[in-house]
Amino acid sequence: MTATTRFLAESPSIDLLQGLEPRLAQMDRRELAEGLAPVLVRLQERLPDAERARVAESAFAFCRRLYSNGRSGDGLALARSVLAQSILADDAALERRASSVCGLLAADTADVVGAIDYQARALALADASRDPTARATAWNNIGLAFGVAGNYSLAVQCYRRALTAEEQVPGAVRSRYTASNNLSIGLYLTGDFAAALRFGELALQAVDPSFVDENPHSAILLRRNLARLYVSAGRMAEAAEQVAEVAVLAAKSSSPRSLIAAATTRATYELATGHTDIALTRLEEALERARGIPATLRDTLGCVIHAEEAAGNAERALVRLRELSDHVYRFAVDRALDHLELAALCEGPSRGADARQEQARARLVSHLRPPGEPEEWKAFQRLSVAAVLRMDNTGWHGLRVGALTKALALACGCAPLQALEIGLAAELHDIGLASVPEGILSRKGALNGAERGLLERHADAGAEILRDDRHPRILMAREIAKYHHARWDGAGYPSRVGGKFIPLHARMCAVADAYDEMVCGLGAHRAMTMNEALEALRRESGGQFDPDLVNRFEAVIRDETADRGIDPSTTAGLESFQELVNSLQEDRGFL
Amino acid sequence: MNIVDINDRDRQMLELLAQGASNRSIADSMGYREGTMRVYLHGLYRKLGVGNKTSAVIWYFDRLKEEGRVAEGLPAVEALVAQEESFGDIALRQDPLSALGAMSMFLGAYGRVWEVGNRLKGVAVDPKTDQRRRQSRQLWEALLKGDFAYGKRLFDEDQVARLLVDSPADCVLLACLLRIGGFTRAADRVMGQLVRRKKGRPGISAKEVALVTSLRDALDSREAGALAALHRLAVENSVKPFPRHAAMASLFWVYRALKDIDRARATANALCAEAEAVRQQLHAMGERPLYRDASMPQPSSPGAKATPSRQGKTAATRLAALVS
Repeated sequence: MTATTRFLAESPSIDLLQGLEPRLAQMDRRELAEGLAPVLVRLQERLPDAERARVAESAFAFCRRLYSNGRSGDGLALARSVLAQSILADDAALERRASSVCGLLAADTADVVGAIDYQARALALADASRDPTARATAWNNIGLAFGVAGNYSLAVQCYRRALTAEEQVPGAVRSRYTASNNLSIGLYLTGDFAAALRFGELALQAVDPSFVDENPHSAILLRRNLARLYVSAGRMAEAAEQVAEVAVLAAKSSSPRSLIAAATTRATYELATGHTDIALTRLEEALERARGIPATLRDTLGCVIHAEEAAGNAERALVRLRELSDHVYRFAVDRALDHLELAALCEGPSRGADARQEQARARLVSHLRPPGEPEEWKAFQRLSVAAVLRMDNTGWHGLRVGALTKALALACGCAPLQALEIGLAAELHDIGLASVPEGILSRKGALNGAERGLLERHADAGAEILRDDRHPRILMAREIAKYHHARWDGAGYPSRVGGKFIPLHARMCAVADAYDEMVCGLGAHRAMTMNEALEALRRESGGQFDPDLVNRFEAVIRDETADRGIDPSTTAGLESFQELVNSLQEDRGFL
Repeated sequence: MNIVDINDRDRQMLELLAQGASNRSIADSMGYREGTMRVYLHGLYRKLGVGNKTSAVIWYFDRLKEEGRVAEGLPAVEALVAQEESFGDIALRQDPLSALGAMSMFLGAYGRVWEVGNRLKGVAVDPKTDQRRRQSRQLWEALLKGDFAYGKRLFDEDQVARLLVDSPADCVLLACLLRIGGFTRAADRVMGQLVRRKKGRPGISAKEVALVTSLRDALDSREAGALAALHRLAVENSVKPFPRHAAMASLFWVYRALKDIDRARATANALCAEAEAVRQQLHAMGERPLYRDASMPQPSSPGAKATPSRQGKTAATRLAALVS
């Protein structure tokens, strides 16, 4: 190595990153951002090839470290800078890796939309490079993002794509192992046990010792999943084999996550073999440990509830269920708020330094500038799409309801800009759905009392996520999120308000929301034609909905369909309805 | 024909209202308390089917005229109106665009409402959209100005196919321009393309098609029904702003072509009122669409630095202090 290349390769950025690593635990988000700032600045200009590769490697290692410590959000800025650098240098391979890292970090911070964006970019680059393994990895990561959003059926489709992408590649391939492992877990969650077992066994065949060393936790998850599947198929001997394997792997890695996974696996087996008491004791222990790691708490609590039910302790099972629902709620709301804080941090580094100064600045800016979009609006929109994804495969439920609400507001005589604001605020009405377990949302039949209770909490969760009040639109969105399930006759939730005491925009959104759910067949509804849905609205006029608004809404739909030549009586579901919504969304030079 | 019966008290109230008296002075001269007077006055408005004092007085003048006994000293309504030149008069003398001036930004597609809406939505305007906006504004201003030759020029330059793909609504405007300008064959060609397109995919709404067809019938065959259809498009609330504004502007030119000066004047006035309503809506949303600052800048004296307005200066220094 000549003196020059040595000088180029030994970059101060790498030293800085390596210096930061040991101090990570003591640094909070702001300190870390300040520490990383010089690296980000360095990455803004094009680096020489040798230095770029090394800085990128150490940046990825740093991000991996943050990811495993549950601080993905703090690494996002660094990963983005590497991505920007790769674009500057026109380095496609690095760009693909950087976008995939960005995507994984974004998914971990609840930004599913951003994650899918990044992964789609990685997929496009993989397509361009004709690398089947890279394609499979990208599909795998997209599946993971859908899994984070809680839409397992879409995730399963992505994993299947990953498997087909690398069918032709011979030998043990890491992405094949990962894809079949993920696919097996996804199928287990969607209830297709036979297929799950098939792919689980496939993953077992594809495994290579080096994969296990690299990521022992995923190997444990594979074994655990297989153990559960064998138990449910009644193949106890094979299940016992997997339980033993899990114990060995967990002892080797000895991370708290692995130990919890091992305990729940063992307990599942013990429950099936009738050792309920031992299983319960084991689970209590695991639960104590899981309280320290929020990501594992949900799964563990699920196991505990099953065990208590099996032991016949209905009361205690109920207490645990309540704890589970509180946990799911808090976890979702906190994650959303954390994401918003992160978005604010990314947009303006000066923000958040001093709350009073901040407020003064915001007031002054609002005096000097004409009113515009709230600062974190994009982040809110992403959260709302991610929340709706588990109910609606397109994720566009919010946008459609927004367009319908805007049209209804215009028909009610609101000024155009006012109607626009109402429509935009209505897009976020289901942002609180993130707090509802996905099993409840994807269920087609009627819900029982406890499940309904969980579903009804999404109105409160929405209001809690939208608690920022620096912009009138967010205030309006909060009212809509809170009251869009309030009924005209006062029998709705969360509080029993009725009639004109429900804010007008929430009443408008309620009509549009119900209409969209009926036409698209979301939740418990089957898909209807547009006319059938209008009939259903009319039946509920005066009960669930404001009768005046129902009349106006009907006029809007009839007018628009006639104007656009759309037949509202034939096809059920999205097709022609989407056409209608598109025409409502078109601005045509106005709004 | 006024068929409402009014009694002496009503008549007395109307007389006083016509003289511009306030509620209190009416109460004083009729010997009631002010609250009672207000109740009587509202009873009167309800009886006449009007909403306020002004409309009550107009109703009264109409009644007097019908009765053939316009009160001594009070001029007829037309005379009152004719004393002041209205917007419609200027529009007739010049053209609606010159009369509207800067206010034209509140009418037509891609006007100020669109710009503000984009800002509220957080949408950045890309160059392609900006080009479409310019094209659309030019067409709209040509329609207001009566520059029908501009439409013919576009047609001769074979821009119709491009317009159809880019922005079908602009094609509707072009068809209106050609039709009013008397370029019948060109207008027919554009309309044919518009209607044919409608069958394939949405892009042009039924109302927009109704606009061009009723404009054709109103001008060519002078059908009363077509004129009524055009009028409906211009006044109905359920019609979206785009065909509505275009129908209003077209109606002005149609009335002018039909030599119906009074209706043309009234149509221009309605156009102005629409622009004013949009401006007020924007204002109510906290916008200052025409200007941001009403202060008159001082002339700069040589040597001295230009002084910004007091309010602007203090705000700017405070902001600078906060940011630093």
